[in-house]
Amino acid sequence: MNIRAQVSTVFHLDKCIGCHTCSVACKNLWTDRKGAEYMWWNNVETKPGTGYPTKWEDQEQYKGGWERSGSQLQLKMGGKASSLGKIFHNPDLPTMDDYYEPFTFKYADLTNAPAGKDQPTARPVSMVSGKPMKIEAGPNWDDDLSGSNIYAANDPGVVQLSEEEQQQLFAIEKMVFFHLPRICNHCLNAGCVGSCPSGAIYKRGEDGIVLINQDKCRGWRMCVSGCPYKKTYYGWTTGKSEKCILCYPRQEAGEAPACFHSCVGRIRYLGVLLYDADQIEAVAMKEDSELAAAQREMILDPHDPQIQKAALKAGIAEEVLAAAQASPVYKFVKEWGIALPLHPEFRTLPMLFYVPPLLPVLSMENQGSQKMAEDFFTTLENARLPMRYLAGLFAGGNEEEVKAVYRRLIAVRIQRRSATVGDMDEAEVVKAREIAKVSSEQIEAIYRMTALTHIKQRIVVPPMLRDRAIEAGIDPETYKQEMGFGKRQAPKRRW
Amino acid sequence: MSGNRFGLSVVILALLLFCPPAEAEAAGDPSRGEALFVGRMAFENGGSPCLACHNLTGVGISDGASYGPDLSAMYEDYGAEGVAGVLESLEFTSMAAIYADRPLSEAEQVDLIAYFEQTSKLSATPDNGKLAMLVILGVAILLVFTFLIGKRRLKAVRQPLIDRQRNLINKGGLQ
Repeated sequence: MNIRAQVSTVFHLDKCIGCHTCSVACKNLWTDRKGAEYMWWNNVETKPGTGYPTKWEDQEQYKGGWERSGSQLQLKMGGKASSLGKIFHNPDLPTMDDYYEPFTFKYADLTNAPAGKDQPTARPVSMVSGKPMKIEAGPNWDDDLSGSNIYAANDPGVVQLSEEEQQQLFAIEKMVFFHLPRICNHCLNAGCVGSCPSGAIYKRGEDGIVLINQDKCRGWRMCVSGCPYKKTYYGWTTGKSEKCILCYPRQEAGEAPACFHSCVGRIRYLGVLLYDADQIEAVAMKEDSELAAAQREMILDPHDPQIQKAALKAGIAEEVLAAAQASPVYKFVKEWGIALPLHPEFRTLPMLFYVPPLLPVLSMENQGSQKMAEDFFTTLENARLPMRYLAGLFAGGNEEEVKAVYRRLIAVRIQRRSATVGDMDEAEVVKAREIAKVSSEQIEAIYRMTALTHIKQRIVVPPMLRDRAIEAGIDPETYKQEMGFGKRQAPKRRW
Repeated sequence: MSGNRFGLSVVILALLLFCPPAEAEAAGDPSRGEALFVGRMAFENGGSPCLACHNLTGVGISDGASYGPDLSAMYEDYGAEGVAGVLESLEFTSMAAIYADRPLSEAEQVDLIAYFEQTSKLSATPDNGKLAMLVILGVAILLVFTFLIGKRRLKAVRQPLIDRQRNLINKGGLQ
């Protein structure tokens, strides 16, 4: 067993209101630079929709992630030889139009225009060419189902549904959507790391944050293709690729990442997970439908004394272990089993989990009022958002996996409705718990974690222990005076 | 150049003095001579082919090697006998180092002379048009190749979705 710690996250989609505050917080902090205008390390998508960049989920187009070839895992974009063959002309990149051409407005014209008969206007100009442009796309162009007959209809998840299901999805007054915020998943088997010809991308040993070394990056852009979530971006002024760093400088100072901190819906949870790194390859080789469950199996219980012992032996600090025990992510993913990874079938083992949205499912019949617990669960099959669609997003097509989550979420609702409104039969509440296989205490805990938590309980940033992490790799005496603030070149005396 | 020619003349004169006049020469084979000159056929004693250092009209499409003097005008200047004398011993400083131990055989000499005679009738001006055509052809092939690679690259995703919808609307298929 090779125990490692991973800073993992849960996004509770029922609570996301699609306000893009997270995106703006991230943009202001990290990508408000020339050449980085088009990057959104954090973006919020509307589902169904094609997302950003357009149809990023369609790996026939973008060739991201891993696939099984024989008894081995291989990058979908090809092995080492093929990536060397196309190193100067990587064919599988999104075009600027698929992201969007960044634009601004000539605001100065509003105040500086000479006096005239007409109201002055601020014309849109391209931030690439500086010339006036017609805005035809943006990073959230399909927000709240706008242009749904183009964007939502071409969602790769929708396209695979039957004609009937598609019509049901887009029927007038029954249209349904939810928001899907996305950041880098800091995968256990990251496609970007596997595809980098320069070896510039690495997973930080002590916390699993995936980073691009800006000194080593040569801008080949293979990671842009290799990441199936399209979460690495090429910086057009630096000539290097960059990506979400999970605000590690903030975390090292004990603060929540900016997008977590700013989230108005408080949908974001962060905490440490312990996992067995020896299992990564075996898990990534599983069938599509087994991937979500297998990934959950990999996660280890930080309360188990044997695991604790092994973790300490593997060099995980006691403080980190304590953080893992307090981790809300462990509760969501493992204890309660109500959070699932996004597109596990890309086989990168993403460590960002989503609690699937309940609201649109609920309001399919009787506008959310429940008659009988049993009836209620059977309506899952006729939900407004087809289970197949949700299973395609969160469980590699395994509907049972998603249904099990929904049963628990609905059981929480039924019990809480019984407690607060008091119009439910106690027998029904018991039945709901039985069907969902959750205890009353668990339901209370889920309810409290979902609705009534303090930021310190939602976001348990582990102590980053940089001093120890550095000492583990480099003798501190060597390190002394050789690195420091503002020093990027190796000093002469080293060689 | 003039120094070279002077040296050449001295050698030829010396050879003429010491050698008995050649008997009726066997007719050389110019095509074998060409093969020897460009190195398609190896010299019997292992000398390197003339083309390695010399240029000659009629070989290749542009100017060739320039280590030794251009041989295009040699036959015209010195005639068959003069050339025969040179080929017999090849006593120039830089050539002697190679050919002293690897002299050309009788037959080879004759074939080479026949070849020189043949090429001396060709125009000495290189055919630049042909070269230009070849360069243009090469560039064209390169461009086609680049285009074919480029066709696979950076396929637009969003625009085709829009175009498809516009087409449907134009045909009246959708609102």
